[in-house]
Amino acid sequence: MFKELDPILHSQLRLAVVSLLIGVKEAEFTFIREKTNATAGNLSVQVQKLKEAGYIEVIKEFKDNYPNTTCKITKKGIEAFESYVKALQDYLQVGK
Amino acid sequence: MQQDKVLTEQESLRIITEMIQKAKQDFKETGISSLLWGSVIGFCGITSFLLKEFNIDPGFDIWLLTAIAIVPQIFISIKESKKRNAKRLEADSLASVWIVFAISVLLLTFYQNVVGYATADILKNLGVTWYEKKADGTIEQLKPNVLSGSSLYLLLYAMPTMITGLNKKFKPMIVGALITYLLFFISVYTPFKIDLLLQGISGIVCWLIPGIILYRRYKKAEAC
Repeated sequence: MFKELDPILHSQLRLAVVSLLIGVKEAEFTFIREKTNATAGNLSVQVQKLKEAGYIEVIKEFKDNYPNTTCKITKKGIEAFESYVKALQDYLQVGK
Repeated sequence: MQQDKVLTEQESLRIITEMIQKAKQDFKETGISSLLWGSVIGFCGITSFLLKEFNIDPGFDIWLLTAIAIVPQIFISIKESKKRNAKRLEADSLASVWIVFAISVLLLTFYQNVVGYATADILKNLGVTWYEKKADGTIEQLKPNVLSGSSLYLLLYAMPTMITGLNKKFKPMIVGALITYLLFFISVYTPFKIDLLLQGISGIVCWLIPGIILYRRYKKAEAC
C-alpha cells in the first residue's frame, strides 16, 4: 500500500516554492516569482496555502521604504517535503 | 507556472531538481570584497617591506590604509545586501566566521601596539628596567616586545566559542566569548601568573558554564 502524496505539495507551483525554499535559508517573494515564472497573484494564493498548512513562514516587513515579503520553510515544511520525496521514490521504484 | 495541473511522479521529480538547481545557481559571489582586501593587504605588506628595505620614512603608518578600506567595504556590504533577495543556508555561519576574524584582527592590532609598553611596566614593577644604547651613544628605556602568549591563547579560546554561540544562537557561549575578549584586554597588562588565572576563568565561562547548561537541558529533554 502506497502512502498518498501530500495534496498540499502535489501541486506544480506549491512544490516549486517548497523545493526552492528547501535550498535556502529564506527568500524574498520577488526571488520566488522570478525562479518559478509565476504571476504575483497566483504565487500569493499558493504561498498563503503553504502558510496555512504551516509549511512556510511568511515575514512581511519594509525594505528601503517598500513592503517586502520574505518566505522561510518551517520544520513542519521540511518534514512534509522529506515525506513527499520518500513517497515519490516508492512510486518510482515500483514503476521500474 | 500553472498550479492546478495534475502532476505525474516524474514531473514532480523534475520540478524538485530544477528548483533546487535554480536556487543553487543564483548565489554567485561578486568577489569585490576579496579584491579590495587582497589589494589593500598585499599593497601594505609589500610597501612596508620596501620602505624598511630602502630606509624610507613615509611619515605615516602604511597599515592605516586598512582602516580606510573599511569605508568602501561598508558600502559594498550594504549594496550587496540590498541586491540579494535570498539568503543562503550557510550565510549566518560564514558571517559569524568573518565577524570573529574582524574582532581578532582589531584585538591583535591593539595587542601589537600595547604589549611592549605593558611589558615594560610589568618589568618596572618587578624592579627591572631595560635600556638600549643607540648607535649615537644615547641611552633610552627599552619597550621590549615580549610575547604575551597567554593573551593569544585567550583570543583563540574566544574564537570557536563566539562562532558556535552566534551559529547556534546560544547566549551563554556568546557571553563567555565576550568575557574572554575582556580578559584578553586585561591579560596584556598583567604578569604571567595572573594570565594563568585569566585562562582558567576563560575556560569556565567559555565552556564549563555553557556545558553545564547544555547538559541540564539534555537531561531534562531525556526525562520527558
